[in-house]
Amino acid sequence: MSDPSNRPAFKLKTPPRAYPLRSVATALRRADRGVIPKKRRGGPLVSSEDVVLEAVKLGYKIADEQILKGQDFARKLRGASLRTEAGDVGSLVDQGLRLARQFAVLLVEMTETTVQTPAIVKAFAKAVNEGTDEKPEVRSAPSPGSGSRQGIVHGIPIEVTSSKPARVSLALYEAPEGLPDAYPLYPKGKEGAALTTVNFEELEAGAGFVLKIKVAANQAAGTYRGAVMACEAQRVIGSIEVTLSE
Amino acid sequence: MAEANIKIAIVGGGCGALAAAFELSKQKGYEITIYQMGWRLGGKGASGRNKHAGKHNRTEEHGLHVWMGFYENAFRLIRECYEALPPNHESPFGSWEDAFTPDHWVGVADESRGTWRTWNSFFPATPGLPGDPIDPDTNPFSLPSYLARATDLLRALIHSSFSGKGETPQNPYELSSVSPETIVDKITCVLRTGVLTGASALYEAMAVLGVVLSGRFSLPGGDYLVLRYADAIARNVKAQAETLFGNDQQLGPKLELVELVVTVIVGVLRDRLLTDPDGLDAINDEDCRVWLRRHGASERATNSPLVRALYDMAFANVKASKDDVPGLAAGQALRGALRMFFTYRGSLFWKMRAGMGDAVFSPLYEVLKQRQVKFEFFHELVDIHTSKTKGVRRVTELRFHQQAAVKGGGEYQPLDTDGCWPAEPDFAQLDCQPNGTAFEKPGSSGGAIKPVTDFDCVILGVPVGALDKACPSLLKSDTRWKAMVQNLKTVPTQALQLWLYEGVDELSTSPSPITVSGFKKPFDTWSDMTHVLAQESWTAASAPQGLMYLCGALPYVWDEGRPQSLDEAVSRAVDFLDRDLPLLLPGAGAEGRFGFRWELLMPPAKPEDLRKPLQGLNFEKKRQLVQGQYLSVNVNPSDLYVLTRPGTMQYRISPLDPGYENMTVAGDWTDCGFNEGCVEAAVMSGLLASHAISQSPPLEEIVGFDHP
Repeated sequence: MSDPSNRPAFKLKTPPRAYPLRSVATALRRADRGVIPKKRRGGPLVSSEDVVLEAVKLGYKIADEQILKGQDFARKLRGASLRTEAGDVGSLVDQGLRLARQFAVLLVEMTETTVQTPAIVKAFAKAVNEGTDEKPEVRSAPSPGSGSRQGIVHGIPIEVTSSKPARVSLALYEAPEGLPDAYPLYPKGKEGAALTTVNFEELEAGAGFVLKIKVAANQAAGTYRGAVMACEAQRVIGSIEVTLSE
Repeated sequence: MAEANIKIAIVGGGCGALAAAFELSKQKGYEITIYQMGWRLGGKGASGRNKHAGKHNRTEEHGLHVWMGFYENAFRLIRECYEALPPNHESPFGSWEDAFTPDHWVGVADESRGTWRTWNSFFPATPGLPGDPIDPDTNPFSLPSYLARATDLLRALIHSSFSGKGETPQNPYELSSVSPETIVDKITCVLRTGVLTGASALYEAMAVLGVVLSGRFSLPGGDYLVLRYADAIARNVKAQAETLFGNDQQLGPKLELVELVVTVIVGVLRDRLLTDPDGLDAINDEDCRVWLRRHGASERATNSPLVRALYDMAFANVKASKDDVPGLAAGQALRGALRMFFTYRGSLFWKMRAGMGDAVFSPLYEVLKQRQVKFEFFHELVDIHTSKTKGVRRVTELRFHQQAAVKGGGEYQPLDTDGCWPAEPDFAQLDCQPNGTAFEKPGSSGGAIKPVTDFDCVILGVPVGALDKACPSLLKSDTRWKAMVQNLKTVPTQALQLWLYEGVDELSTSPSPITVSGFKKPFDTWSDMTHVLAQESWTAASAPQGLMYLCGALPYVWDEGRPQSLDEAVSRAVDFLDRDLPLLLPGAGAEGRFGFRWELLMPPAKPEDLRKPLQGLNFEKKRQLVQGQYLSVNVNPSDLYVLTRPGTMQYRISPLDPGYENMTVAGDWTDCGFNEGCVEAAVMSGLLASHAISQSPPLEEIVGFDHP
């Protein structure tokens, strides 16, 4: 190798991370390469209501366009039908258009109704307001070594209260700023009740935090998985996996 | 005292290796040498001009290379490259706009009751161009953009229901004078299509809405309303659609598309992929068709031409070994489809106006030379020596088989006088006997072993299929690498180029130019590449009017455990042209008689045969005509296409992997964020390799690396 005696051996740089971030939320924001001002066409969506309105408006726009195209087509057909003396074509067109319009509008209204469900709107408010936080992302210093997806933050204590044998795996890909947020763990590959009593709690000042999991006695056996989010930046920074056996 | 440059040895000259060289050579402080087997750069994208008499300087390629409109990193690279070309460049094109041409049409071949037809779709131009800086108006990943693309899809589907060959997409509703029956048929069709495509677009809108709703959190109390909502709509629409359109062959593909879109939404929600830290990677252990079935897709949709075409494009429909099971990892398949259809810019496809060697690797070579990058051609890697001290692995020596020496000891000049890559080495520069293209076959030429230790860091850009011959010592000592080589499957491919006396658009019922996939094997994909003829040297009197590329996986002779030979592939191609091609290209079929119109092939065996129907040819004569075209069987280890099999992602090694302190990797076989064999994956891996060495470019600048 070149000049081994004259300078320290070359080492690859330790990357801030060795894998892609696959979170849907972060991807939509990160794709701007970080060099473009974070503005959106038509202005930022600042509340849950804006998101709902925008989505429904766009849904209607698509439906309107569909209808307009149909009407345009119908006009030409009527013209053609007069020339070819096919008198019943006009009523068939109208009937069909009504059907198409009703179907398209029905779908939009279903969307509208669903997204205005109070539980969802409440959840939007939290997510959207946090999502518009434009504070620069602060990264912790990467840990050297592992390039795998096993997580780079280690030594976080875990407390599990469970009547069933439980195996817990916590993987954090970066050290969080502040207390992270654990989301409910959902059964992997099947339907069933989520494991919801999962949270991080602070230890004594400066001593970090602990992951606490309480498993109800009637929780079904299986593997449960969920995300760990950084509270400040609303991005996925890790995952928790709990395997309960009988 | 100024710090000495860091010496980088790059092994291989494919897209991944050259992307890394391009990025590093932009920065100060690196002294780069590229070691390349044989006489040309390009790897699986290499091409060459045939200089032999009667071949008209024609372009001969390893395969059909079409760049997709979502290849953001690849286009950014090539656009920067053309910007950096010196004014006195030799490359045949002066700008990337000259080198690439958009192709908005895509076709899917479908067989119904013994009849083959092509479902053609026009994908409209979208704002921006691939490789443009991403701003709020052109960001393909933004919410408005995803919705706008859904609207465009709606328009495209409506248009494709009406347009026939030659109709312009801008005016799809114009009616000519028609009978009342035709009018009624068309009304029925438009209304049905309208309902379906409207529903489809709304589902797309809802999918994006789902991203907003569900991407950041789980709903309180575990009450998964969005899933229930989508599921209910899916059931409702499927039931209505089946009732209304179940037996309508015209609307079959659209019904399947709607069903697939709905199934994907339901599957993504049901598997909670929106909140899964691994995103779509969480389902990479499952085959895409199995995943679709698990979430309710019918057999018809699961085996639809669209799904078959997606598999064909990744060579996923074929076995890689006798015991292999064909398949495509579900997560990557969905990521690829989403990127392809919803994030393309400018055009869905971009075709090169010449061979990929001339359009891409010539300018890259020139710019890298200008940046003082050294090239060592005719260097075949045969081993890598490593050390392991206190658990830290380092590369200590590269061992090359020096295939040929340059007369007088200078550097080999690889381009011809037109700035193109020749199909064979320029033996006049070499101190060896001419041996055709043998330098691209490992171990096929004599020469000494040359140990190389004068490097600080290595970028290994040798394809995974060639690693067992390129670094046996490393594989023996490193179980991870051994597992990667054993578990990543590869397949040999083949490509057939036909120079035709008539235009491809005259032979086909599809609009032109177009790329069609999902057809019969062994050539399931074909593309009209007539525009490449302008770069070749035909005389006006005998110039071909059409150029067609066909490609597919090369069949195996399972009993003997080997892929077909060139000789066998020629015979199979004769069968394909006679039996299969006329099914999709009626104009290529002989009128009133069986088989292919062999007189279409250029140049004719004898000049006086031009334009004369050739009848009664025996099989050997047909074989000779195929041999006069260009058939490439890509069986060399470095030519093999890497597959995206379910359950194999964990074996891939990332360019960011710290397993070796002074070595990183590049190529579409690496874990690069888009794990499917293509130019974009290779370029992303090269950018990651550069990042591993220099921390440039930042990971956030590698477009799509962080895509779910």
